[in-house]
Amino acid sequence: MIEKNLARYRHLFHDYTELRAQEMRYQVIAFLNGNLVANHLDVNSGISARVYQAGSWGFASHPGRDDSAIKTVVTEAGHNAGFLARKLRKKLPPLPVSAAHAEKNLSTHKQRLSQKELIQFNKELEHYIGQNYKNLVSRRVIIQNIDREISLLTSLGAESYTFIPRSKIYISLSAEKDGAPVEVYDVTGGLGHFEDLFRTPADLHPFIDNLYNKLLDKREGERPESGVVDCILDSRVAGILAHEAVGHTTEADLVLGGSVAANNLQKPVASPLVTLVDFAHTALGKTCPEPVYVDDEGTPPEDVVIIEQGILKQYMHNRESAMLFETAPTGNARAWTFSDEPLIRMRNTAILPGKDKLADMIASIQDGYYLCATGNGQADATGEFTFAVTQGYRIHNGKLGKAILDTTITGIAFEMLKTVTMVSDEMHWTVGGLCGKKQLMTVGMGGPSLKCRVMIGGK
Amino acid sequence: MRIIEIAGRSLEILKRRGASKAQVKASETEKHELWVDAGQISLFRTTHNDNLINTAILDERRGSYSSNQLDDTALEEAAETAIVFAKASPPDPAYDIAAKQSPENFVIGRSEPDRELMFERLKAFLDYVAHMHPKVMIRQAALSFDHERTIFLNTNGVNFLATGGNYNFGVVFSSKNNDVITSFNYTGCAMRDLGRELITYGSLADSLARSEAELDSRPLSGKFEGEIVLAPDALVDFIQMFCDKFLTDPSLIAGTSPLKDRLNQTVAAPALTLKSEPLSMDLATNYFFTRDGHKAQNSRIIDHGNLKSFLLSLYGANKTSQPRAVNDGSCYIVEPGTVTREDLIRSVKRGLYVIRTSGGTPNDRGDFSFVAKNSFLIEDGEIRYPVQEVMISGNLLDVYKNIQGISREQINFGFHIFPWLKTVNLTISGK
Repeated sequence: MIEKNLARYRHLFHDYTELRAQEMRYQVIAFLNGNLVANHLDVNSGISARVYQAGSWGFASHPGRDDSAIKTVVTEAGHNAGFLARKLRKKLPPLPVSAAHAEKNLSTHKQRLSQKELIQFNKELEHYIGQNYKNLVSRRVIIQNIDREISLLTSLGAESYTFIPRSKIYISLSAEKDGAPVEVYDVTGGLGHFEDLFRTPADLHPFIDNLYNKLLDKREGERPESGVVDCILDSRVAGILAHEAVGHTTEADLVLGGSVAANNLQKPVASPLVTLVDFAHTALGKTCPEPVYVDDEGTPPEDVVIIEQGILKQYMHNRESAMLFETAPTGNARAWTFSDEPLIRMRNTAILPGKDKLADMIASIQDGYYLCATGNGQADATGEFTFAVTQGYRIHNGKLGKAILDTTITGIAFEMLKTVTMVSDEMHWTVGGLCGKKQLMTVGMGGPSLKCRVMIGGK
Repeated sequence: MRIIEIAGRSLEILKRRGASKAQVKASETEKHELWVDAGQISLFRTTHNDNLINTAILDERRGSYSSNQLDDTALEEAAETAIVFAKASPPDPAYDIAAKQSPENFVIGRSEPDRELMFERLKAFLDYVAHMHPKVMIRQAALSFDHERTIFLNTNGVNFLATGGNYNFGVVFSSKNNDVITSFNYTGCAMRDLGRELITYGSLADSLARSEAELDSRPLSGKFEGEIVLAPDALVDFIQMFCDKFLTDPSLIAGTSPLKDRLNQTVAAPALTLKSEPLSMDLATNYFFTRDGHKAQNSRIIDHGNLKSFLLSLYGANKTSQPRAVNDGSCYIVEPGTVTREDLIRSVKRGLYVIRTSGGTPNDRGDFSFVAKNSFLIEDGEIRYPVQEVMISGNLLDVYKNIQGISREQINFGFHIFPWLKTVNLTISGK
């Protein structure tokens, strides 16, 4: 546990200063074909300070948690800022002033499970798969828990304490076809401790059965025909589209670096059916998968309406980019561990649901694909996005046909989004999203199903 | 030294608390980093951290716990947690620790950064780019000095201490002319010192010089079966994917690796020799012992097309009854070939000069579909124009089987050394 209230260290501040105590607990229990290959807990905690002096930043961090460590990081961060300030002599306006206060602890109130109990839970899932599906080449069941605990104090007066847990179970199944493996995987879980999300292994049997049926479909699958196609992106895919295709290009640091969003504010970039928002903590009346109640600069977080009915409206900002753009910070500054500085990161990025029914959307496609599950993806300054598709089906004459093998889709975001002609009334948040941008970060990604045109890789 | 004393005490506590076998890895690290944002030097960051990994084995049961807290209470708690986790685990005779070896102390590189020189080199790099490539935008860059001291002990008497420091530089950039912007590109390098200007390391000069030409990128129509020349930066991903996907514990223990029965058999064209050389003095990111506590050795993974080594850990080797790797992989070197990179391009009838790829990872069979980024169309042996929205599809194993040439030039990134490489029979598709 970290110190919840850092207020007694305020006297150490001279310039703009952020003081952050942070602990991350990362627990993994992994079975592979009945073998326990990971049985580990990592706890990483410490203190950091970031100082702003004459347009330059200095940062320092230390694993200690006592007064001496705190004084060291504040002093060292000040020295680092001074080193740059003397050399660069930037003439910049002051940073925008705001200060958020929040205390939010989303820990479970239930009795915590022991390591033995968690291993037993995992083992029972593993055993269910092994007993019921004997034609598998491999099976993998992974429990992964990440707790992020943060205390913050800033010279502008922000004070916060948050404890945000996340738990997920990842299952992958592989079968053989003509001597080559075919794999499917899926993840369940989300915001909260394990005890609040998972009750008994038997509750997950339908999830496993469903995944196995998808494996059987995919085992008979074929590679898609490469080219530009009509497709339905399932609601489980929309989130990564929102994140990769649009989200990154509208992070203000990437806008400053020349992303395609730089020249498109207040212009149409998507179909009028598309509204895309980066939510702080609550969307459509429910808590988001990655709630941010105060960002890591102490800014009160706002929802950022990035695209509104097809028009590009806003970027995501930290204090520095807000100063440069002469606007208000939006509370998007986040740091992964105590030794990382806050960067502009997404929080819970989603396309809003529409009015169409998924069945009607599939029926409307003459020749194309229904793409249901995704792997990792990547964004680009040009707006070209790519992400892996790990499950999908051919559509022919409005009906689902054969499954397809793994592929990748791509497109130019602001062109592709203009091809959206139907948006379903569902809303699905992806479980366990992790974004990489110098540092890792847990993110929420969500949306409805979309009918659009994309480029697909294949034969 | 503090870290040696802490590791020794941790091992004693594990033994006292009942571990029949145990290992402890303790490290202290320091990073000094200059960060560039939107073309401007923006941040100086200094981080200090510790890490202690305790692994306990009791009655063939294994558990591990790591933390960066090293006070007395934390050491007891760390050992106790590893023991509790081990007791909770099912037994597996494959869990083990490294056998006894002679203790050694390894020292390499600098112990402290030269902050003034770091700033000077970084500023000179930004000035160079602004002057020589005015349309190139440096989006982000990081120049850091990383120092680490690590000790590895186990109950068989293994005792290794390694101390080292090196510089690392990475840059993300694109070119912009009015409203036209190129894909971002990135590259990096590792260095023992900053004896030269940054632009002279790795592929930086080549990559930046090529960036403005990409402003003229055009989509490709249709699809065809073609040839590709992979630049060294692209080969970084292809080699990493090949090794991670097919040669490491998960796919070999699962039995899904298509190479699981192919040791000492042909898996690639005879032109390919791939080595892992953590001890090479040509590289700046050396390591001296494996994560299991074996003294690291250099190895040949593929020797003239024959698979000579997996990258199995001790556990993976015990599980599969295959030989344990003599290192943890990485520090890859692909031996140079006999032709020039210009000759490789001249030999392409129709295909792509691939600088970078994007789009997931290959599946368990090795099938992939990637987007070719920062890449160029080659026709009749000449580079025609840069392309956009182009995909390459194929199979990773076939990429290596179908190698038709490897250049004699190489790029030393400091963490790998790679040449240019030509392969055939890929599906190249555009809009």
